[in-house]
Amino acid sequence: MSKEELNALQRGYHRRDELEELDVLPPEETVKEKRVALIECVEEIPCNPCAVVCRLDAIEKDGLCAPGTVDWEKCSGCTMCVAVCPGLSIFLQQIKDGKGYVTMPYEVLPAPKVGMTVKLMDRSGTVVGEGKIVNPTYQAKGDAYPRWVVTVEMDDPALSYEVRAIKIPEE
Amino acid sequence: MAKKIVCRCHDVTESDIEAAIEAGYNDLETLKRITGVTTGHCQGKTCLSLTMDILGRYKGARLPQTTRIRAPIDPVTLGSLVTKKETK
Amino acid sequence: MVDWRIYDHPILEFDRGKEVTIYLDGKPMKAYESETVAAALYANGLREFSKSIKYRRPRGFFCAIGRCSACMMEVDGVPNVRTCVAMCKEGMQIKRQKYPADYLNPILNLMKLPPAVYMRLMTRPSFIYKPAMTVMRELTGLGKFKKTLPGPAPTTMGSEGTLETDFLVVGGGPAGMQASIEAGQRGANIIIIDDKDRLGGQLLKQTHTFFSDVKYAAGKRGFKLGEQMIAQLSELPNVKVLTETAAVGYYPKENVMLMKRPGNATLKVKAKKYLVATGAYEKTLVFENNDIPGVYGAGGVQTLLNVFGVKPGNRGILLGTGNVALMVAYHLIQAGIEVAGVYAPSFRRVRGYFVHAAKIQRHGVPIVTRHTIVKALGKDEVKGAIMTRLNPDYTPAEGSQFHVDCDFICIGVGLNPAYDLVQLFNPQMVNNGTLGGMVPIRDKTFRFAPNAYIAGDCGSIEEATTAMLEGGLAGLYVTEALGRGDEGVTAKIEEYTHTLEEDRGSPFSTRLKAAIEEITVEDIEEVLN
Repeated sequence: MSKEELNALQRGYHRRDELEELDVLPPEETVKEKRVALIECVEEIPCNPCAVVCRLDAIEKDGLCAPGTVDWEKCSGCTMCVAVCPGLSIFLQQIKDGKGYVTMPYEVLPAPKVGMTVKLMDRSGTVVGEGKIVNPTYQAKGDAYPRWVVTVEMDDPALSYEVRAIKIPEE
Repeated sequence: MAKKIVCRCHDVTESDIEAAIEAGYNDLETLKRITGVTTGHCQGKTCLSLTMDILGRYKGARLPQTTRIRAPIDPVTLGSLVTKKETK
Repeated sequence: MVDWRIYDHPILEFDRGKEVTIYLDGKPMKAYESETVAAALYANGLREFSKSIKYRRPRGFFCAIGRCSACMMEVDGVPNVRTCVAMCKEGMQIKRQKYPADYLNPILNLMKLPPAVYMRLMTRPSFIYKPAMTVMRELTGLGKFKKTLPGPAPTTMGSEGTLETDFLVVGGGPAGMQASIEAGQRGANIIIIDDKDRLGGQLLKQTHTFFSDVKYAAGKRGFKLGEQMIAQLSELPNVKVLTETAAVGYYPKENVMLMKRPGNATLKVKAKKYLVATGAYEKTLVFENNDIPGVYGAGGVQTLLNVFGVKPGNRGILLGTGNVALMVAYHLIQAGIEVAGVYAPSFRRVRGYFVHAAKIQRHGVPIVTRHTIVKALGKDEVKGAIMTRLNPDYTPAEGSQFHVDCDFICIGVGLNPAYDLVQLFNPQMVNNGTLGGMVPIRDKTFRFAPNAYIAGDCGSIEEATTAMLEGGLAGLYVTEALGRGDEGVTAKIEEYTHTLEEDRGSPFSTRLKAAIEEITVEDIEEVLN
C-alpha cells in the first residue's frame, strides 16, 4: 500500500482535496476578497484557545472537544488565532494582486525577518517553490511567546492552498 | 541474531525468559528467581511490563501481578537505615 | 573540544549557572552547576556510562530521571550513583566502573550464558563459595565498596527527626503541585517532596503549548505553567517544599513515611493524609541489540534537550506515534536536529493527535506507520537501524527490510504507572492495559487506601492537564476529609469534575473513561476490608 492509498490519519497529513471535502479551505472568491483564517484541526480534542481569543466571535465550537469552524463573513484576518493555537494548525490565506499569501505560526530557528527569501513546503514536507517573508510578521506576546507569526508571499496564488511551512536557508 | 535484552540490569534475554517459561517456571515469582529478571538495580522498572507481556503470551491472559514490593524503594546507604545503639 | 550543548533555541534560554570543572577518570570536563553529571558528561561527548553485569555490554542513559539505573558511575568515591540526577559540583571526581571482564566483552557477546550464572557458579562445596564470589565480583559486578565511604558519616535512622503534618504529597509534578495549592490555600499544613532538585515533574521539559481549557492550562507552555505553580506554592506559608527528598518506604502499622534527604540523612513524616503522585516509568521495546548507547527513552531525550540543553545526536529516529513521540520529534526539529522518521506498527492511524503529526510532517519528517524496528546497528553506539514493514497480522513482510542512517533511536511507546510506593499502602491492584499497567482500585474521592489518595500518571496514564485537574480534585477531597470543607470547596470540586469530564469528552478518551470507571468504586474502605 503506497502512502497515497492511506487515509489522512494513517498518513500523518491531509491532501488538499480531503480538506476541501471537510469544508476547511475557504473558496477562492473569499480569499480574493480579504485575508481569512482556516483551521486544519479536524479531530475532536479538548481545546478552546482559538474560540476564546477571537474578538469577533468568528470561530464556533460546539463544545470543548469539537473542532473549530471559521465564519468567513465575520473573520477579519487579524492573526490572533494563528498565534494562540497549541496545535499550530491555524493559517491565514489571501490572494491579492495575483499573488498568494499564507500566514503561519513558526517556532524554529533561524528567526524570520521581513524580506527573507525562503523555501515553501506543503503539508507533506515537499518543497513546492520559493517565497518572500512579508508583513504581518511578528513575535507573539503573552502565553504564546516566543512563537513567530510569519506571512509569506508566493508568485503562484494556487500554492496558497498548499503551502503550510517554510524553510529559512542558513546563512 | 543479536541479543534481545529484556532485563537490562541482569542481561536476561527474551530467549532466556522463554526457555525458563517452557521449562516450567511460568509464574512471575519463580521466573524471577531462576532468571534474575526484575531483581537488578532498577527493580523491574523497565523489564517488569515486558516480562509480564511475555508471560501473558504463554498464558493467554493479562496477568495482575507485580513483584512483591518492599521498602526501600529508592537506593539508600545502609548507614542511614541503622539506629545508633544508646551506650551508657 | 567537543560540546554538544545548545546555545540558540527558538523557545528556551538556558541559564546554566556557574561554570565548574568536573573530572572523568582524571580528565577535566566543562560543566555547569545546574546540570546533572550525566548531562554534563554527555555534552562533553561521553556516550558509554556503564557496562551491563554479565555480557559487559556498553550502556548509555535511558530515562534521564533517575529510574532505569543505566547511567551509574562512581562519583567522589561513592559507587553506583545515578548520574542523571546527581548535580555537578566543582572538582567532582567521576569514574567509570571498570572490571577485568570488560576486556572479555567481544567474546562474551558471542556467547549465550545462562541467566544469573554469576550467582550460581561454584556455590558448592561451601568453602569455595566465598573466594569464588570474590573472584566473580572482580570479573563482573557494579561498583567497588571501600571499607568506609567518603562523604558525611552514616547517620542514624530518622536523623532529621519526625515531622507531623496534615497532608504529605509525594511527587512535585502537576498533580502533586495542584493538590498542594488547593489544599494549601484552604489552610492545611502540607509537606510536598520531590526527588529532583526542583519541583515541576514533567512540566519542566514541556516547551509546547498545552491543549484543554483556557481557564486552566490551554495555550500555556508546560514549563511556564510549572513556574507559575511553583510561585503559587512559595507564597503559601503552610506548604513546606522538600526537594532532593525521595520516599524510601511507608509503614502502615506505625503510619510513617520514611524518606531520604541529601547527605545520607533520613526523615520520618507522620501525616493524616497522603497523596501519591509519583508519575510513571518509561516503557522500552525488545528488538535485536536494543540496549546500546544511543537507544534512549523519548522522555529521556526530552529531558536532555529541554531541561539541560544538550543535543542527543545529529540524526535520530522515533519509535511510536503517540503524543510523546510526535512531540519529541518536534522538539528535535526545534533544536536543529535531523529526524529521519517516526515509525510505528499501527495500522489504523497515527496514535496521537493528528495536529502533532501534521506539524512535523510539514517540516519534512516522514511519519511511517505499519513499520517497526528489527535491529539497532552498531557495537558501542547506534550507527543505524534496520526497519521492516509489517503484514496486517503484524508479522514482518518478506523482503521489506531497509536501513535507516541515524545515531540515536528514541523509544516513545508508552509509560508504566509507578507502582512501588502505592503498593506499600496495601491497596488492591489491577493490571489494566488502557490505563498503562498496574494501577490501584480507587474510589470516587481518589482514595486507594483509607488515608491515601492518588492522582496523575501514577493512577492512570493520561496528560499533564488531566494530572493537574485530578491533583486539584484530590487536594480538595483531602481538604474535606480534614474537616475544612465548605460550600466553596464543594463548588470547586464540581467545577474541576466538570472540566475533567469535558477534557475526556473526545473519542481519544472513550476507552480511558471506561477503564477508569472499571477501577473506581464507591468507597475504598469497603473494598479493602
